[in-house]
Amino acid sequence: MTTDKIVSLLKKSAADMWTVSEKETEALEFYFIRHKLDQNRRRSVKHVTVTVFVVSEDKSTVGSASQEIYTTSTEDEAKKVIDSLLMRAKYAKNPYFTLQPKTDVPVDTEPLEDIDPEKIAKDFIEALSDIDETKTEDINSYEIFVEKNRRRFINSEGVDVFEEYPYSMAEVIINARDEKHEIELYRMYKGGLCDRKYLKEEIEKTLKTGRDRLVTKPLQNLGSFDVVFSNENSKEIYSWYIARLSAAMKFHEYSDFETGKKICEDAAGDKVTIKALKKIENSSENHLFDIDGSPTRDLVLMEENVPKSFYGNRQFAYYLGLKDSFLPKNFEATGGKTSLEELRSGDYLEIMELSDFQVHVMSGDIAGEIRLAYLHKDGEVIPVSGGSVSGNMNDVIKTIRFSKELKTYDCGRCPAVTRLYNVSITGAE
Amino acid sequence: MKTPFSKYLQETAPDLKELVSLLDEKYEYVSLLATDSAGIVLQSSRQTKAIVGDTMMTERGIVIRVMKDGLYSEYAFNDLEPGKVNEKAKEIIDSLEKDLALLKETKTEVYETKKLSDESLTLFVEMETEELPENADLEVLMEEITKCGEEVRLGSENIVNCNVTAQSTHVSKMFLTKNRDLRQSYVYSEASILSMAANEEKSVVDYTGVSGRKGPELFKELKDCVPEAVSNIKAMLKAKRIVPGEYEIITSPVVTGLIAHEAFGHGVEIDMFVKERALGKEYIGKRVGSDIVSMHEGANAVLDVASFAFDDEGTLAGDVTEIDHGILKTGICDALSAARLGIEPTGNGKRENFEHKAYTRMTNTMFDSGEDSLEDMIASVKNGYLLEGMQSGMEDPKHWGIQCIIAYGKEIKDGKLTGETVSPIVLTGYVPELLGNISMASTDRLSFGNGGCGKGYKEWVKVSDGGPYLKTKARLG
Repeated sequence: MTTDKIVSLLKKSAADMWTVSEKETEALEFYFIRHKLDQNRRRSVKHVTVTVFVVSEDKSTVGSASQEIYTTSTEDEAKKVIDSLLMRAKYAKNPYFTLQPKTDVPVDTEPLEDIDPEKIAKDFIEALSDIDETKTEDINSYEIFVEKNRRRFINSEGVDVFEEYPYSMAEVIINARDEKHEIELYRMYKGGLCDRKYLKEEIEKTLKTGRDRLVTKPLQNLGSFDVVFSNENSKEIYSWYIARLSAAMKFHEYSDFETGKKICEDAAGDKVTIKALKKIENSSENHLFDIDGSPTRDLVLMEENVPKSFYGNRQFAYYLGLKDSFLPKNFEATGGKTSLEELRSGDYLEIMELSDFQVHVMSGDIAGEIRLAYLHKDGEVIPVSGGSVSGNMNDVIKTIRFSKELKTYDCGRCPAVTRLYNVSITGAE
Repeated sequence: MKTPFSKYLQETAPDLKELVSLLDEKYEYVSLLATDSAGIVLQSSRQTKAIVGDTMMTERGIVIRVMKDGLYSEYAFNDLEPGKVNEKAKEIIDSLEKDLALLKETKTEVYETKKLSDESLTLFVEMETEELPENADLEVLMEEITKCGEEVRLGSENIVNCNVTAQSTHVSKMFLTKNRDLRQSYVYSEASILSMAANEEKSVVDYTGVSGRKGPELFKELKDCVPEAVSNIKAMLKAKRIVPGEYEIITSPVVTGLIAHEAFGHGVEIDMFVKERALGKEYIGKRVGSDIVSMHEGANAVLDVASFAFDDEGTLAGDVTEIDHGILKTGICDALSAARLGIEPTGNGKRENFEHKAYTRMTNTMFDSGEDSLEDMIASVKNGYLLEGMQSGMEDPKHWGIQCIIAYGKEIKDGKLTGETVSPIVLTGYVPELLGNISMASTDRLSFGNGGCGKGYKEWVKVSDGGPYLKTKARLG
């Protein structure tokens, strides 16, 4: 069943509106134990998802239902799916909204990148075998995923857009050991193509981190203490702001942010600016259009703690009255005015490794078990592990400070160094 | 009624068998997993509703596994056209040859693995269900879940919103080799209530649900969760921050399940033994918990969302005793890791879907029940908490560190619940210490199958876990 055939069936159906989203992927995967190949895999798949919409006579509601129509479906099967979706749509009524109209601004249909999955895979294999390992710090295992994706979006309003984009990911497990024990560090590097230089630098930095983790002392109860983040964990902090700028979160009343109103009246620290970006160099999420076929672009969402615009897909953007909105995948957090020296002054705990760092987008609760941190206290620096960090973003935003220097992690760019004041540090013993 | 096996897979089986046969001429081992699973998801909040046909396990596709000269390779696809088996076989061989050329160019060595066994076996299992998702009356179900949400919202004026989700999946899978023909079909379902409430001081979130290897009839059980959802939200709203430290704790069955999953689920996945990534390897035959700690893992260990007849590598479902009265007996294992270590696979080779690699994965992970009553357990606590509700967990199999984020704790002082609550709670500890301190276990036990389990930060599969109330000691922050 081709996508064009599905479109033809939809045009003949009773659907008031419809969308078809097609994604075709050619993928290579390589799994290594140490540097020996455990398994190689190929994927060649195509997925076509159809959504039908039924509009009430008075145009007060829109019902919708969606499902994948398999490439192996017969015409009869595809018709049955569409009929079933039309029935289901009647039971999922929502306030009225419209689909993305055909825009006068043409979406660029040229490929963003020259994508050669085999070349990208070769770059990864060679990069990972070119790491400076030692007898005590080395790579335990790694998995390489490379994709060339073709994406097409068509709707009943005349939108028919297409793009190609690469996706790659390397999951790397690092070991470090001494006579007594061995530790493990987990890393996941996502991007578009393989950035060999970045990969080598980051993994070799991680090998050093592993060395330090071997000589940690148990973290003592510090009570209320300042913490500093200077790696990918920082992204999780800024994700809280981004989530609360989502139109869906706002519409469902999970976000109390309001456009034009400061998110915190008594903020004494640095003020956060959030932007959606169409493109970040080598992001795995550089898209010409979003899930609803809406063109992507750069957009300021929040400026110095004052929301300027929410973002969302067609449905929630319509509900909030947002013009030309879209669902972005690349974000940037900026606005830092504090120097790196000041951020790393006095007593603080610089947290490097957490088992799983989480900032709950709804409650704002911060939680993570500390696997490696550097305790800077009374002029001394001690590597520590164990215990946990906890707090809440609603308190943190009053005093948070961060650098103007930025660092990019795949589809997110955020301050290189962030300091949270007076969060709770529970000791390991 | 019997859950009908996929008509598509039945009709495609002759072509797929021919494909296996063609590839068998080129490779030393060939297996094929074909899937055709349909489902529904209903969502209802105060403002919006949605019906979609894609759950975590809906899929239709094929993955071929081949082995030659000790190297296992896979090819996943979803476009097999009737009568074009020869072309597909050529496409698979050509693609994998390109991989070999790339590996040669990069001078990559192979981790050689011996040929998997292929004993003759035929199995056709259509498991029992009351309803099928494709036949469910979605109008009635949407009304029922919407009513659940409304009742939760009426339970407290502080509840900002409540999102109710109900999903059901009709799974059909077929595993073929030269000598094996295994086919199974079953239905599993789950439903949950996500409530968010706020007062002047804070926002809190509660997640409550039901699951089972049942059809959409399970959704009716969700209304029994409404009082719990309301009481949890109220408890969390009035909760204070915990004073960090070590406490006596009683874990409710959902928290017990979280500990089972994080502590001795991931910690004894034997593909991690092959990579020397798990401390469990050193502890087989040794004490890892107190005498009253016993734990089972397997698709047959309990009837829940991860109960199947065979796994994604064609190994029949199992029930492994991982811990017997405190002694670690064995781990769980996929077929390739078993071949590498010279042991038998346990029926734990699972894929996120046909596009993903098979790893050693959990199915149903359960602590055994004990002989104590919850009342006696509370009465025995001098200063501690009864922990309720789970949010997330993370393991560290290399060191048996564990982190569990718990929704809230009910304070216990001198053997009595004081009515005070603390929230949220981060439980951290060293697994053998946490399990070694288990001193009481209740007679009842429950399993929970909402949500999914990842390996690292990917490869999401359905699992369930649970057990009884357990009393132990832990660090809480």
